[in-house]
Amino acid sequence: MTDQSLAIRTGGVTKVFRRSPAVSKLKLEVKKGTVFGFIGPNGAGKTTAIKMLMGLLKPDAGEISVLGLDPQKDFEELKQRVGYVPEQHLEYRWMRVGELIRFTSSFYDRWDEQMCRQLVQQFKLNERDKVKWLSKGMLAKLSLLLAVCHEPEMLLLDEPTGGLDPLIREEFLDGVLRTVGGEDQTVFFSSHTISDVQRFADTVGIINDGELLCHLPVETLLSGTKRIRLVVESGKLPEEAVIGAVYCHTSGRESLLTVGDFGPAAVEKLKSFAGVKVLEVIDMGLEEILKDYIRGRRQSI
Amino acid sequence: MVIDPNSHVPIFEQIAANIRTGIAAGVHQPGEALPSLRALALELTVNPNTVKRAYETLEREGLVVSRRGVGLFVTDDAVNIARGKADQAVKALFARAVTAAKASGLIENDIRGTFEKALKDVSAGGDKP
Amino acid sequence: MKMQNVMALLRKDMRLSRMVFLGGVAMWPMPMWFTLAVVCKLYMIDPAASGRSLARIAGQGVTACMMLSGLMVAMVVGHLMTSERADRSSAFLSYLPFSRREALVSKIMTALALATAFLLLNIVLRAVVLHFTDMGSYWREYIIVMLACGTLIFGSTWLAGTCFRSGAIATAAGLAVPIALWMSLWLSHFEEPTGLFLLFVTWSVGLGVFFFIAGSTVFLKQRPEG
Repeated sequence: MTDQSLAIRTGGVTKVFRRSPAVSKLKLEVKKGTVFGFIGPNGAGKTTAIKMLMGLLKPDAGEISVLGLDPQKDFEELKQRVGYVPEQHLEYRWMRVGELIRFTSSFYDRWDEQMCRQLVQQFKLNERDKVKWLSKGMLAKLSLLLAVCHEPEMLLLDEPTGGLDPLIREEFLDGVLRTVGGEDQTVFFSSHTISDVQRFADTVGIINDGELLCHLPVETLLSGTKRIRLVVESGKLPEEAVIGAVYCHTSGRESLLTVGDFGPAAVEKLKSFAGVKVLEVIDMGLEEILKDYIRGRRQSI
Repeated sequence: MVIDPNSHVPIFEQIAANIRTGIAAGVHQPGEALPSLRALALELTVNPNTVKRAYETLEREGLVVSRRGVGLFVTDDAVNIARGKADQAVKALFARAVTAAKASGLIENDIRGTFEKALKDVSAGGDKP
Repeated sequence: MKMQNVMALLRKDMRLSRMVFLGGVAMWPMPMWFTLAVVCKLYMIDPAASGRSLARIAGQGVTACMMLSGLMVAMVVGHLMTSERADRSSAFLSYLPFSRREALVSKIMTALALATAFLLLNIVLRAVVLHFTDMGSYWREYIIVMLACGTLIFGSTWLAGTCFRSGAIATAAGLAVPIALWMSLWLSHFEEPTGLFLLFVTWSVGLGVFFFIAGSTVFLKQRPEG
C-alpha cells in the first residue's frame, strides 16, 4: 500500500498528560475515500488522537502524516484541506450566524457558496441569530457547515453527534453524507453512538486507555467476532483454548468465549479439548464487540 | 427498506437480503432499475460504499446487471435465483432452530411436531412466532 | 502573509472591540462636563471672575479627560488581547488556516487605530478649550506627555494581556505598572525636579516599547488552546 493511497498514517504516536499516557504507540492507516470510525470509552484517547491529527496537539513521540502533510509543520495547508468538527463547539458566541460564516469563509482558498446556502436552508439556520442563542443541535450543524463548505479532502469529526437527539443526529449525518458521497473524500470520526459507526464506517478502530485494540473493516469485525457458549466439565477452560481470544467470562460450568477470528477451524479446535462442549455460537453486534474487547483488555491487565 | 444498525449482520448484507426478498416477492420486477447508489445511501443514511458492496454482491449472484452509465437492473431470471437464495436462507434458519431445540433437550419427534404446528398456524393466517 | 486573512481578522478585531471602545468614548468627556458645569456656575456667580482662574479650571478638565483616556486605552487593549482566550473563541481560531503572525498584525493595527482615536479626541478637546480660553498653549509638552504616557500604558497592557486571561486583570496590571513607575520617579526626584520631565519621558517610552515587543513575542509563541 503506497503512501499515496493513505489519507492518514501514524506510527508509534504517544502523548502523555501528567505522567499517564493518553495515547500509546498508536498505529493507524486510513485509506483515502474510506470512512474510519473510532470507538472506545470516555477518556480512551480519541479526542487526543484527533487533535494530534489536526495539529492542535504535539505528539510526544511517533510520526503522523495526514494527506501527506505533517500536521505540526504544514498546519496552514492542512487546515485548508481538512474539515474539522470538534467535540465542543466554541465559535464566537457574540457573532451572528451569517457573520461567522462570512468570517470563516474568508480564510479559505476554496469555498462553495452554493453548498453553503443549501446547507443553511437544509439545516434551517437563521443567519441573523447570534451563535449564543443556538441550541446544541443547531451548533453542531453550524460547525459541520463551516467544516464542509471549504471543499475539504478529509473530514475529522470528534464525537459529532454527542448529546444530540435522534432526529437532529439523522439530519447531521445526512448533511455529512450529502457532502461526502463518493468524491474520494475521507472521513475520520469518533463516536459513542455505535449504530452511527456501523452505518458509516468502512473500517473501525477500537481504542481503550490510549491503546488501539483492533483496526479492522466492519464486516470482518462483525463476521469474525463471535461469542461461543461452552460447557466445561471441570469449570475451568484450558489455557490453549483461551489464548488469543478477545474475552472470556466463566460462571460455574458455563463459559462465554469471545473470539476475534471465528471460523470452522476455531470451533473444531475448541471441540478437540476434552471436557469442553460447544453449545452455541452467538453473533455479536458492534456494541457487544466493543464491550468485550474492552472487558478483555481490562481482564488481562 | 429498513436496516438495523445495531444488528450483528453487516449492513451491506441486510440491504442485499432486503432486495433479494423484494425480488422474490415481486417488489422489484425484472427489467426495473434499482435506486442509485447515492439515493439509497441517503435514504438509509448509510455509507455509499456499503450500498456499493450490497449491489456488487447482488451482481455477483446474478440478480442484477449493471448497464454502464445507466444503473443496475433486475435480470430476467432474478426471481428464480432469489427464490433459491431464500430457500438457502430458510434452510440455515431451520438448522439453527433445530440446533437450539436439541441443545435444550427436545427430541426429534417433539421438534417435528412443533414445526408442523407452526406451519399450520401461520398458514391459517396469523404470524404466531 | 495574506492580506485577505489580515483584513478578515481586522474586521473581527474591530467588531470585537466595538462596545468597549464606544463605551470608552462615551465616558471619556465626563470630567469635561463636570468642569463645564463648575465654570458656568462660577461665571454666573461672578461674571467678572478672572478669566485666568476659569481657564485654569478648564485646563484641569482637559487634563482629567486625558488621564481618563489612559484608562480607556488600557481597557480597550486589555479586552482586545484577552477576550478571545476568556470565552475560548481562541480555540475556534486555532482550527482556521491563518498564521499567528497574521493574527498579531491584525491586533496591532486595531489597537493602534483605537489608541490613536483617543489621542485625537484629546487633541481636539484641547484645541476647542484653547479657542475659548487662554490656557497657554503648551502644545509640545502636552503631546509629548500624552504620547509617552500612552506608550507605556499601551505597552504594559499589551504584555499583561498576553499573559493573563482576564481582561480586568490585564487592564489593572497595564495601569499599575505605569503608575508605579511614575510615582517612584516622582518620589525619588522630589527634592530636585529638574530633568524629571526628560527622565519621565525616556523611561515611559523605553519601557512601553520594550513591553510591547515582549508581549508581541509571547503572542507569537502562544498556542491558543485547541
